[in-house]
Amino acid sequence: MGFEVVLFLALGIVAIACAIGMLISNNAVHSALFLIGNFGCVALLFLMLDAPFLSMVQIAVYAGAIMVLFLFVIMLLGAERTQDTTRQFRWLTGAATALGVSFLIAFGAPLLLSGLELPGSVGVNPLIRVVHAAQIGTVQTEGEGDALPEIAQEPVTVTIEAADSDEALVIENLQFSDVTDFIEVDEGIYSVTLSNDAGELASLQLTLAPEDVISFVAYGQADSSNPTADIGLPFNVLPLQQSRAQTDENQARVQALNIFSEAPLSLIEVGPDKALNLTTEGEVADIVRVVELPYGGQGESFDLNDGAHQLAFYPAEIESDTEPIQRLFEYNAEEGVEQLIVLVPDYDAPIQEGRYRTRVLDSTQETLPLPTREAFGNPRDIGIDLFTTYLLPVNMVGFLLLVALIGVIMLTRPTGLDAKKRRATRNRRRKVSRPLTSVISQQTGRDVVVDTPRLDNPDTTDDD
Amino acid sequence: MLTTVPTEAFIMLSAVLFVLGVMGVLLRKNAIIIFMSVELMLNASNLALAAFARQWGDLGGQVFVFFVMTVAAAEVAVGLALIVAIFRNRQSINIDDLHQMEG
Repeated sequence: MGFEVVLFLALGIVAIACAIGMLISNNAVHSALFLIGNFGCVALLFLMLDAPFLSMVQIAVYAGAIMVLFLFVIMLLGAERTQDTTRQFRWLTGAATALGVSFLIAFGAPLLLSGLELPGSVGVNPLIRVVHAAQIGTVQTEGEGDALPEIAQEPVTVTIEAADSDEALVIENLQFSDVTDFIEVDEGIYSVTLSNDAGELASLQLTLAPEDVISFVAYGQADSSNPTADIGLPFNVLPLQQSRAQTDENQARVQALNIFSEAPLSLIEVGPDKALNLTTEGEVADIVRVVELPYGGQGESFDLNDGAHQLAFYPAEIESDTEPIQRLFEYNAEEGVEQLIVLVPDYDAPIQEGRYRTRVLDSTQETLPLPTREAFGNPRDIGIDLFTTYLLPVNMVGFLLLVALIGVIMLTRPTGLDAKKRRATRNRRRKVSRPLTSVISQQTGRDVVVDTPRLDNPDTTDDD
Repeated sequence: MLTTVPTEAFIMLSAVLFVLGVMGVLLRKNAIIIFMSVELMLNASNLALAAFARQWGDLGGQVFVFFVMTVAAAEVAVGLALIVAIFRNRQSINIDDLHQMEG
């Protein structure tokens, strides 16, 4: 569980607890304070939702102004103690709870069972590239024993085609060890086809999701005139998933790939100042890291500190006298860089006893972190939006606030008549409608006028 | 930086807070508490709006939250003024007392 999930759960639980506290508290002041707690939690959740401006407005306007107004009114009216008179409607408690729970189930069940069909984050298209590390061409020497066949390399053509589009991306004349640049494509289903003059060699279908970074690595050996024949190493195309995660400070990322031997290999990082031989005078060297590399499979990528490292490819089963297949002395890792290391057979190398004919293809690029959306939720952008796209609503809201202001003044103005009229009516006799007088007036046909004692008139006691 | 919390979680939390607000409106008899419950409901809807704004990468949702806050501020001012006016007349803000006003 990530830090943000934990933070979300904590804030969510506190927010719900505060809401429940507000609901069941018998003291209106406590209710208001619980609600401030809830608003504070929601403000922090806004921060998690890339809405810093709203977060600040939430604290200032909601938790500040509105709740102060609430507290002010509660204390002004002396209405702290709230005794509930639900006894007449006891069934209402159960009914309201049932209603709320059924709403939550009706709302949450589809959400939890199937999930919302929400689009991914906008603006992050998948990136693809092609790495040609396969040996395709005319077989010159058949492989005998452990030896691999020698092949005259020929270029290939890669066609990348979206399922729902007629246009295809064609990369022609791709030579062995070529690595193309990353190409941004739309998400969707794609088929990748490797072909040469003779026809199709291999193909692969793949669904690209947003934020994917995929290197299509052609590997193995194939006879161009008969691509299905098994002549040496199995031939195929591997969709290699690369990480979008940003490396930490002073870290570099390495993704290694074994397309040299069908037996799995290990990439071993030995510590500094240690010989690459696993044993130095009978003592096992300081092994920092071992990464398993199955043939043509995606090994785990790892981050290492920048600077010089000693890496070596070894067979998976190491004994004390095992010689490394390929050493990378003084492998230099640069900060913020992702490197793809591919171990391939090499036929240009001279045949030597006790030496593997290998070569390392590497391709280095900056790590590809997700583009950060700087201009999201900051006050400046919201302000620009408010005063361009939403100018009319802003005016309407301003007008509404004015109306509300006038309404408040009208509502809280001294009750009844204004001062001038009140003065005029102060000494006038009042027509009193009491049950008895109404009966009398009904029977006599005359209005009964009664003097009202001044002390009973609450309007006149506070004047002067 | 993108959060790893899915939008669904925010929507669910918003629904729970909204339901608590609804229950406050239905169950409590104190007009001020009812008002606070309405604020809670508005706030829950704001949370959902902000979550969707992030999901779609569209500022429109956040602008809408801003409008909701403004209208809520106006509504609170008017509502509390109403409560004060009613309290002056009836010496009570219990809505069970208030509905006897009719007739």
